[in-house]
Amino acid sequence: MALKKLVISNVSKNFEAEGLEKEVLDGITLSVEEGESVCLIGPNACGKSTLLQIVAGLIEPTKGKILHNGELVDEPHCSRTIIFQDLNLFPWKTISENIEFGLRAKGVEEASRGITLEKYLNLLKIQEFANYYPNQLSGGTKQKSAIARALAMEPDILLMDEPFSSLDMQTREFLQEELQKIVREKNQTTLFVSHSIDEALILADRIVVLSNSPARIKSVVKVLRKHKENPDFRHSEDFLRYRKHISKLLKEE
Amino acid sequence: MESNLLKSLGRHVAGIASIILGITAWQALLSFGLVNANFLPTPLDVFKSLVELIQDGTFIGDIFSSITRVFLGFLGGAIIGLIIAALNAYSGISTRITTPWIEIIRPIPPLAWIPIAILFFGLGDKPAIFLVSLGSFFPIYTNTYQAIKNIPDKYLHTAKVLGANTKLLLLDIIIPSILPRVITGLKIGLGISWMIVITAELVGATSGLGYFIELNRLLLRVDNVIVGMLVIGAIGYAMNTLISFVEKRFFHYQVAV
Repeated sequence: MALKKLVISNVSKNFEAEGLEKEVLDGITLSVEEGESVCLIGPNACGKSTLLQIVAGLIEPTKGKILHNGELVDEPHCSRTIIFQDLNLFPWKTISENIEFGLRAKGVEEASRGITLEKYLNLLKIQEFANYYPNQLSGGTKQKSAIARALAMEPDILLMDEPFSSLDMQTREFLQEELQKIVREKNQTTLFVSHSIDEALILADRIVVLSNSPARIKSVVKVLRKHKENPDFRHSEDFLRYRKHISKLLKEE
Repeated sequence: MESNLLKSLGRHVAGIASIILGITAWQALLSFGLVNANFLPTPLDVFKSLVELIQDGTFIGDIFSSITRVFLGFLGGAIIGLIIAALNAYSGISTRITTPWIEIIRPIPPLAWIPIAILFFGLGDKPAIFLVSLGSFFPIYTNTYQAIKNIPDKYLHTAKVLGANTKLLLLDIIIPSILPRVITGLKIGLGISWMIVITAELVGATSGLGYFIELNRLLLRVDNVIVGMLVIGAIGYAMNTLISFVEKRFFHYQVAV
């Protein structure tokens, strides 16, 4: 059997707050194949982000373990880059410097850093903003910059925490399509968190529906490639059918 | 070009007018005999004294003495403040050892140290430098300590996820994210330093602007006292403007938590 790209094995997480133990995740088991895009969807504050941060290596699980290419995850690593919900662009660095930061951390030489930088500025169409600081830019451009910074790392697994939640609908839909194209072309393995069913359907091959606190896996919905290949998938009958199904699952929570 | 100059002049019209009005009122008090002319010289007398003092040379020496003491004292306070803040932010034992001292010394006005400072260091540069170091230490220490303690986790996490090592973390993340607050501490520290040096020189020195106004008080040269005060104000204002400029130019970003 081929090695799974990512294995989440029986992961539970308890947090302690004001002396009370709160169970956030309960026995989550899930694996992600190479090139697959998986979305975690669930009620607000159900622990989706916590799970993503455990996968990133930023939080330790109370029980269970994460395997990345068969190796135990116990600290953050640049092969699992995460795009945070509030992006976390460094405000003291320009967009170029933000993107280059990860490359410098990786020890990439200056000349080839420049090439990679150009490539991802072009890919996300943000060349003209290269020398701007994040606080001079619109939400959409910041979003693209954070995506460029993460993709430039050429991560083995791309993690995203509600990447488009702060954008207006038009920008969001546009970026979803763009990202979907990029992910498909690069055969990028992706695990992301969303509370938008539409976003999940556009970006994911599989949608994992989580239940409310503590989060358990309630259901896994596979979005068939043949449906997704429809260029007008967003407005198709299939889309509505998926939507209804997932919406019903979520409403039960 | 010209319109820019006019605009910037326009912005300052109210300020300039208010100063002119103040000087006029000052002159009026004297012209109408409302204030004893022995105690208050006219604005023109003050201006003449300023010109004389600048030509004379020892006044420039006094200005230079005060600035040197502020510079050395501030440097000392800043270095000690930054080092102890960094130690305490990262080490619990260091915090527990130093905090009682810091908190007991903090409420003592630096001026209350003057007798001890003079006994220990004699008259001259040293007591003033000591007092300036002491006074500038606290705002620099407190702001730096808080800045390090409040570095947003999100930037540290992001840097780690992007693979940063300790050196990159320090130079590219930690230092830039504390700098705005550290600069604020330095700015407050410098303002305090300037006030302390003048006060210390009133009693503990034989040169400097503080010594100059005290000497002229004894000589009943109110015009010179006023010149000294105005120069103190002008230099303090200039130092503050300089730091504000640096702040705006290089630390325009907000480090939000």
